[in-house]
Amino acid sequence: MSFREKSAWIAFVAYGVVFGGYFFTLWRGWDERYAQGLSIGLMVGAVVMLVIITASLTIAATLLTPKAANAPADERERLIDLKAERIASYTLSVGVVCLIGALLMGWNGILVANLLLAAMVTSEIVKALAQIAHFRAGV
Amino acid sequence: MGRALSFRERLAWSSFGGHFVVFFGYFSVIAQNGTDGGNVTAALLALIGLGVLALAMRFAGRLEAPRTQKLPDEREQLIDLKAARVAGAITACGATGIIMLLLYGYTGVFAANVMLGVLVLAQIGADIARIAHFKLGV
Repeated sequence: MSFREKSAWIAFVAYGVVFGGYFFTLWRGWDERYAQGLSIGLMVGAVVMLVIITASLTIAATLLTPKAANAPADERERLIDLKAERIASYTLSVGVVCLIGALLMGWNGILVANLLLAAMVTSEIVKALAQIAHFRAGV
Repeated sequence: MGRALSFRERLAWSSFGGHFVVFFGYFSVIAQNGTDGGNVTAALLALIGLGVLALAMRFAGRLEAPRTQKLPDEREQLIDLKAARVAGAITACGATGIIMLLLYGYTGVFAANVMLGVLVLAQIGADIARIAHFKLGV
């Protein structure tokens, strides 16, 4: 497995674990009266956790394969990155369009903020999955 | 002597011009409402307008392309991918800002208009990236 495929797996696992935990905790503790404070607190915690988990796993992967980690991305890897980013961009745009509709229909702003975060997380997970799929399919 | 623009470069210019003209007018009017955000129906119509404009550009790309340029070549595909990266980055930055706005209690219609503005900016950013790549000869 190439270093960049490992990086994609790290992103997939980190986003899945951290934001899976975030949304589960938010869902369990959801109360419109305290949603603002709960969301801000959890969001800060989730971002810190994401940085810690991603940095730790990336450092571990780098230590295991230092040569591959320092090598610049080749043409195929750059193309895979671009293709994955396009899919992620479309995913996020679809989410944003849906949430504009939700806001115009009068949905709770804090709920929409969390759904927008979910759209961003989904787009990152889709990007990681697309990268993995392209590496496996041999683009 | 300038070189002739390719079909897809002309399409990028049309998209840029179309989005700029339509939404500059819309957001100039909306800006006068400040953080109240303006009218729900107007925002909904602007959202539909954005969708129609995006579809029109896509269909124009398919139907109006000269016979020799029906399918994008490798360079045009790469330029498209790079432009999509720019659009994605703008959308992600904008979405982060909108999350902050919503968490700090701004009105839904205002946030919806900012979201719409982010999508338009992303489209304009992608068009500018396309034009720049065509000019630079990527």
